[in-house]
This record gives sequence, C-alpha cells and structure tokens, in this order.
Amino acid sequence: MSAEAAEVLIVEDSPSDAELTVRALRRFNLSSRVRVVESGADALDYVFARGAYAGRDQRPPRLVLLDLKLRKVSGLEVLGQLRAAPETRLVPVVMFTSSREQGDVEPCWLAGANSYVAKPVNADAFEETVAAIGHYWLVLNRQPPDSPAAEAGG
Amino acid sequence: MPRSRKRTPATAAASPRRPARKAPRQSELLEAVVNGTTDAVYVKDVEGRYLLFNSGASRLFGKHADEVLGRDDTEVLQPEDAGVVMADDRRVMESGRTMTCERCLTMAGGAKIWFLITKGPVFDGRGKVAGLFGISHDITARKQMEEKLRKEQTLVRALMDNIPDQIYFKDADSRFVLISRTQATRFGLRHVGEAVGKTDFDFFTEAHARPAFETEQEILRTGLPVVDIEERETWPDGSETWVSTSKMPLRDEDGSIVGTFGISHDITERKRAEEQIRSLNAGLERRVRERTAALEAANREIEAFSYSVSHDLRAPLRAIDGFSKALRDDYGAALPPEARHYIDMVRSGTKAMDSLVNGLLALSRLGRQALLRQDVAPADLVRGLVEELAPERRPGQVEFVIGDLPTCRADPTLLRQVFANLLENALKFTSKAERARIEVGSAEREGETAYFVRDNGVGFDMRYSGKLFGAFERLHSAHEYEGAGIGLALSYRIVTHHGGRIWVEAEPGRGATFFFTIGSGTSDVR
Repeated sequence: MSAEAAEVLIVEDSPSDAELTVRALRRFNLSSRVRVVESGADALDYVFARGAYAGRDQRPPRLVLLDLKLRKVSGLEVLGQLRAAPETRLVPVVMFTSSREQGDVEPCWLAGANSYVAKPVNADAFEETVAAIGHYWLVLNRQPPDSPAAEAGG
Repeated sequence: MPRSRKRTPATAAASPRRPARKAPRQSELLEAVVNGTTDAVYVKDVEGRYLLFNSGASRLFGKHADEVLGRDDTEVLQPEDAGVVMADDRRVMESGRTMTCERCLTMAGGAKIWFLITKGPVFDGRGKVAGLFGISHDITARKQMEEKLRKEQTLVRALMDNIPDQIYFKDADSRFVLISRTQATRFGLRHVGEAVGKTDFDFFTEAHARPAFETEQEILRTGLPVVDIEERETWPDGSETWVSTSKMPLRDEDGSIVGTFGISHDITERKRAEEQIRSLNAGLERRVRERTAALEAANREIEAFSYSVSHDLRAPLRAIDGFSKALRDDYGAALPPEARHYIDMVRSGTKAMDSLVNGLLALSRLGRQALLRQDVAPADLVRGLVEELAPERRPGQVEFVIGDLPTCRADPTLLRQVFANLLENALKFTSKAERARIEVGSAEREGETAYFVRDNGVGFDMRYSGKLFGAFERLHSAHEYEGAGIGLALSYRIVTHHGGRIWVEAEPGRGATFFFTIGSGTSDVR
C-alpha cells in the first residue's frame, strides 16, 4: 500500500478517530485509497515523499484531513508547510478537530485551510459529517487543471 | 541781680515815665514767661509754703492762687502726693541742686496727671537757700502713648518669642529686619538680633533661598500676598523641612511697600505622614495588583484546565459512541435484543457525557469572554427561542404566554442563553404535566426590572433552592428528567457577570418561577 498514492491523507493521532473516519469514508463508498499518519512529521514525510516514504508515488493526495493537536509538529505547522511548497499549495486541506473554540478557527483560515470542521461526538453526526466532507471534496469539487492532483484524479 | 527782686514788672512796663526804653526789664520778661506758659510754675519758701503759683499751675491743679499762697503741700495736694513732693523739695534744698523727675499726681478733681518736674533752689542775697522753684510740665499724653507702645511691644515680643512658627520681617532686599525666636533657633542663632541684615541665602541652600527670594521680590513688585503655599526648605546639612507659608507686603505709614513679612508653619510631620500614606497606598495597590494578577493567573489555569479536559474527554467519548454504533450497524442483526439494548444504553450515556462536557466548556468560555452590552429586546429573543423549541414540545400540550418584556442593555448572545436555559428547564419540568403552561414576563423587584419564566411543572422544595445554581447540581434524578445540570449554573454566571441576580420561587407540585435581573450596565468596561 505504501507504493500506491493515497487519495485521502488522514493526519490523526487518535487511532479510534482515524478508524472511525476511514470507516465512514468506506461506508459511503467515497474512497478506498486512504492513508493514515499519526504525526505531523509523518504527514510531511509522506506528502514530500521523504524519510520512510522516500521513493513513493509523488502525486499529492486529493484531500488532507488534518487534526489540529498533534505531537511534535502541529496541524497548523503542517498546513503552513503544505501551503509554502509549490507542489502542495493547492491541495485541499480540511481541518478536522475536536476543538470548537473560535480562537482555534481563525489561525487555520489565515494559514490557508480550505475548511474547518469540528468532530461531532455523536456517532451518527460523525459519520454524516465525514460523508459530507468526502462527498464535497472528492465528488462535487473540481480542482484546478494545473494541479497535479487533478491530473491524478482525472 | 538786685533788680530782679522788684516785683512790679507789669506796672514798670506800663510806666509812662520811661517811654524811651525799648528793652523791657528782666523781671518783666520773667513775668511774661511765668504768666504765659501752660506749665505750672511755682516758688516755695524753706518751709514749703507757696510764694508764687502761676495761672498754668491754677489750671493744672484746679486751685486759685489765693487758695494756695502761704500754704504748703499738705493743704494743696493729696496727702500721699504731698509726702512725695515734699521729700523731693527737701532733697533739692538740701543739695542745693536742680533736679528733674517724673511724678504722677492726683488733682483736686481726682484726675491723675503725669508731670515732668524740674525743681531748683532759690537763694537769698547771701547765697543761702531761701526756698525753691518748680516747673511742672504735663506729660500725661506722652506717658499714655508710651504705655500703649510698651504694651503693644510686650504683645509683639510675646508673639515673636513664643509662637512656634517662624515669623520674619524683611526689607526690600529680602534682608531680615526682625525674626521670631523659633526662627532664630532654627537658624542656629543664639539671639534674634543676629539675623538682622542676613538673608535666606545665609541659612538655606540655593534650592530654597532662590525661589523664596523671587516670591518676595514678586510681592514687592505687585503688592499681592501669597497665602498658604507649601515650601520645601533645604538646609546646608542636607536635611529638608516643609512649611506652609503666607507672605505679605510690608508698608510704611505712607502706604509704600518697603519690605515683606511672613509666617511659616512647620508641616514636616504632616508631609512625612502624607508621604507614608502615599507609600502605604502604593504598596497596597501593588499588592492588590499582584494578588489580582495571581488570581487571574489561577483563573486562566482553571480555564485552561477545563478547556483541555473537555477536549480530551471528547476523543474517548467519540470512540465509545462510534464503535458502539459500528457494532450495532455491522453486527446488530446477529445480536440478541438485550445486547442491542445494552449498546443503546452505552450510546445514551455518551450523549449525556457530551452534553456535560459542552456545558463545562461554555462555563469556562464565559470566564474568558468580555461582555458586549447593547440594547436588546428580550421579547424577540424569547419568540425566536419558542420557535426553536417547537420540536421538543408536545403539540398542543404546551401553552406559551409571552408578556411584557422591556428592552435592556445586555450581551444578546448571553441573554439569549439564559432565556434558552430557563425555557428548556421549564419544558423539562412540565413534561409530565397534562397541560403545560410556560409564561415569560417581567415584574418590578426592589426597584429593578426582573424577567421571569414561570411553569406549572413539578416545582421543588425551596429548602434546596440554594443548590440549584451550582454546576452539576440537580434536584431531580437523571432518571426523571434528563439534563446536564449545568444550564442553571451557566445562567447564574451570565446574570452575575452582568451585575444582576437570579433566584427562584417554587413549591413541590406547584411549578416554579425563575426570576433574574440584568444589572444597569453602568459598571461594565468596554
């Protein structure tokens, strides 16, 4: 699986949240090519195909679900590096986090997040939310033609 | 001079036999002096009997010459005066010398007159003392003036020697003319006279002497006094004293300004006390600031704690609910009904826990939020809420009554939250009533407008009402009525944050009425 480029990258340090997210995407047949990484550092290694992911298919994911509170490299830092690199600056990044604090939302938007979605605690709501995100970004949304992801998806 | 013994000067002067003589005789001149002077002039023989008593004497002593001539002072003066005068007379005659003295004598009318008396011996032809002459000049007016001056001087001296203030008179060049003893002591002088001719520059440092000098020169120019100014006196030894000073122009008899005078009252102690109070206050303020900062830090810590706890609690809750649902979705068909029921119970537990966490977060957020007061019409808020709550109410079984709700100044989001909590509460506690009636209105309470939400639900025992507004306190078991138990705590925080109060009136089985005020809005900082 490491050789194959993922459609959706989930950056999530809670294994249960990660599993529930993957399950929801699969359940609604939105994507089977999902990659889960547990830290910000791993996320960057994966996206830029370095470290443990050196030599992988370099196409960037079509969607990144990025948790905010991560160990070592925070979600906000990951977002900043994605936006700074030419090859990833247009990759859709949806902040997907427990926090509903207004103070957490604004910095993400300023750093170039495409969306900010709070994770519902209620399982039904959680599933519906993940499905809505997947449906919008992977089905409805069109990415610019010069985006490598668009070529990959098309 | 034998001619002087002739005692007819008046007839001589008038004599037709000597019309050619231009210069009057010596005796005529003497007669003119004796009769013309206002002083008393008299001559007595060796026995003290009057031989001459002029008109001045008659006027002053109040006696005619006829009553006096040939008699001595025992018959002319008051007895005690006579003794003194006769003793004087004896001294003159015994010594043969002229003497001058001041005597106060009581006249026939009772008036006391001060005399400057000059007495001298009168000699006979052989140079033997034949009696004495006297001239008494009335100096009563001068004596009285002197007495008055002396008394005034005594008063001034008493003032200058004893007053604990510094009093000083200065000339136009600000040189001391006169200072009080207190000032001399402060200057380190043994005698007040040592200050004469010196200036402030001889005693103080430039820092005080210069401005004092300029103030005095200004007074000399303008004639305007300075009153109760506080001066810092700086001394050569480095010490400092404080005085409250008034200075005025000193005028001579014509009214021209010739100097200044002033009085300075020592206020060093008061100044030190003030300084002490100031430093105490500053210390107190600093401590208040420190305590406030410590308190704010503690509050921030508590808020940060509840924030992170709330967030950290959500992740496991999500896992519990998520996998319970997965279990039911994926394997529900294979499970016995009882197992499915257990899964439902797990999920309802997570729902309650989620609601608690949300309440806790709202409570911690409230502590960090600034109040944004504006004009709010609670009637609009309540109508909106009633609409929103419609799905929760059993159709036709709940009657909402919205009464008069005057506008107020409050944070609209927070005020809405209070009404929402109270309405949800009312709905909850009327859920078992056959016909629920929820009334929202306002009433005057202790001069303030209080809003109320009244229900006809289960009510409760007022003995426990004190517990109602604490976080997580509930008077009903969760079985009976669902709820986080945090809504009222939140309402309480919001209302007190606004400077208002919240209270409840209830009876078991007879419903409850929650009242709250929202404060005037004058105390909030924007």
